Amino acid sequence: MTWLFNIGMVVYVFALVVSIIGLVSRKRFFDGVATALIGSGVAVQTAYMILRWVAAGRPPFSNMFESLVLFAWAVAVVYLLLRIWINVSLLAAPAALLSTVALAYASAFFAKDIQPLVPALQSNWLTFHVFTCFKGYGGFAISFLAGVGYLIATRSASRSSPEVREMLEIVVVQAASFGFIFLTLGIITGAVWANSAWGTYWSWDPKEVWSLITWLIYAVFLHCRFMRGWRGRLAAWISIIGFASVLFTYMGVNLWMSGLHSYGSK
Amino acid sequence: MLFRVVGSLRFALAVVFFITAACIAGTLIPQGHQVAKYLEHNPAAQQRMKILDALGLTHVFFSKWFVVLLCVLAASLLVCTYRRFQALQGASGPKRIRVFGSLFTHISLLLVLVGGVIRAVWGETGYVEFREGETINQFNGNRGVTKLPYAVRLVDFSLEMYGEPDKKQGPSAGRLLVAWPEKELMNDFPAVAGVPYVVTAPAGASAPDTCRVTILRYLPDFFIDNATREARSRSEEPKNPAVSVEVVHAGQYRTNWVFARFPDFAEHAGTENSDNPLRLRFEFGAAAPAASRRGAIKAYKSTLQVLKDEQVMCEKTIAVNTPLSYGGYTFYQSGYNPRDLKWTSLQVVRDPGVIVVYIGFVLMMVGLTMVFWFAPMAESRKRKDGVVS
Repeated sequence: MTWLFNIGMVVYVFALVVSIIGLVSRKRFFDGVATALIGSGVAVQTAYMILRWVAAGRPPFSNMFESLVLFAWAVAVVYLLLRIWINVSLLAAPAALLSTVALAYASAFFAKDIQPLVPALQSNWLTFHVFTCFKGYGGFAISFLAGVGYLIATRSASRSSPEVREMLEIVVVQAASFGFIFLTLGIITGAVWANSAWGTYWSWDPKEVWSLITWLIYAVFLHCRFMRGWRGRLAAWISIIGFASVLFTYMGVNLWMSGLHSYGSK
Repeated sequence: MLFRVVGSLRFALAVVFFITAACIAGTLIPQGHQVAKYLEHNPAAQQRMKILDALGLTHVFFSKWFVVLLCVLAASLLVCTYRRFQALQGASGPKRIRVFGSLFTHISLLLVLVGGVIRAVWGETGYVEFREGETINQFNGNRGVTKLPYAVRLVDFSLEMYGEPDKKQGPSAGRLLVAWPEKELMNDFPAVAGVPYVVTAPAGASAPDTCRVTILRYLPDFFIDNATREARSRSEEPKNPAVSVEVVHAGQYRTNWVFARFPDFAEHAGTENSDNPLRLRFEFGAAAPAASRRGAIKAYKSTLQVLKDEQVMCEKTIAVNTPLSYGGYTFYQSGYNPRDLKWTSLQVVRDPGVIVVYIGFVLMMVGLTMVFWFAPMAESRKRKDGVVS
């Protein structure tokens, strides 16, 4: 099963290399190949997660290794979804890079062996809650990448065309909206699960609080975008700040704070 | 004027900013019972923690000023909701869908806050602890001792481990005591087969010395089969419990049988004449904390009966994630005692506000779907219709 994991990582690396060649040569052929490779990476990762699910007898979402695999998958999936709707081939390289880094980090620092579930995690809500949260994180990650891309593109007007800058701006908002819906659903499913497991839907646990902080940041961003027309560099910076909050919610809390979600630190 | 200010986006953003700052402080600064633990490790921080405590920053989420912030947020949401109602009148087509969606999301947030208030004012939470065969009809909660409208009996408690048969667990394994006389080290581990434990002895300037200890096999009634010369168990009764222990040290593998009832007799055990650096002792049964099997617990379950006038109204086996709800109260499997497998701890909750919160959750998702899915779809269709005509 580990060979599938390794193949997935290698495919993302190839996608990264091909997309960089595409960026440098400005030939659309390479963009198509890079997207196809990312799609292949998603397929391989999906197969890996299914096999791991079958081997473990439970969803592969219970520790840092498995969640990093899911995160890499979610980033790539959100990129592909946006690619169908809008030409974001510019983001193939950063998406492939982020997925590769996530898988490499998982492989280097966390054990791959399948551990049995502790009693608190034995619930169908595990699948819904973790899956929706990570789809949200995937959306925010793409929004962040588009935000960084926008800031780079606007540093010098000659670096990119107005169409590219407009496309990146659209992606910042659309990906953040996508992420916001799924994060909301993730928080709700987590609250319902907590109520069925511990009798309280909200206990001001660090993970819950930081999820709320991330939710508030993106709620403010979307309000200001749609009601006050915040766009451009301001929107890009908020997508970066929001993703910093996502990273702290996902990893910082697991690694540095104890609470009800402490089983996610291994 | 106040109405316009409270209903403005700027005001709402300011409130959200302060709530966010409070939330960040509440996770970075030790809260509640964490303060004492923090001061144990950082005694020099006494003065700093006193100041933070005076500012209400050591109990952020339960402080009056945080509650005031939430009330201000609620006021802002109320005014925003009213303004969206007004905006509905002039809206049509995709804009109407968007306004409706926005209205639902804001009402949902109000419902969640209201549900929280209902819980805080009328909700009850507490704990019960009892042993098999015992019956309780009250619990210690946030309102002191609260009487239940019925009695609850603990019929059975069981602890299930991974890799062991799915049945009630008695003291089927105990603990392995490991002594490393040369290093003046002693340690003990739960006697769980297949789980390796590493004993590390610091060795000053040189690299630490380690032994890896793994229990290979447990036999409840050890005997040597004369025909096959194999170690086997006569029965499932722990009449002569023994564990086969593998010790790896300096690249050398050694396997010993260690007997609970004959601690002085161990096959090639760590004695003066043995090259095994460790001395091993297997404790089993009443002497051993039976369920000290850290990390391998599959489930802990309590079978409860609800009794009214000595009649059994219902019986259910609860576990974490599968509570028992009866007569307005819900019993959640909370804890167990590894030294007493007939004891259980349950959390008791009555929350009349949870249904309001759940309605809020549903409304939130409906509202977001309308804003981010249906409204853009309607706009897109309207643009296409406009192009066609």
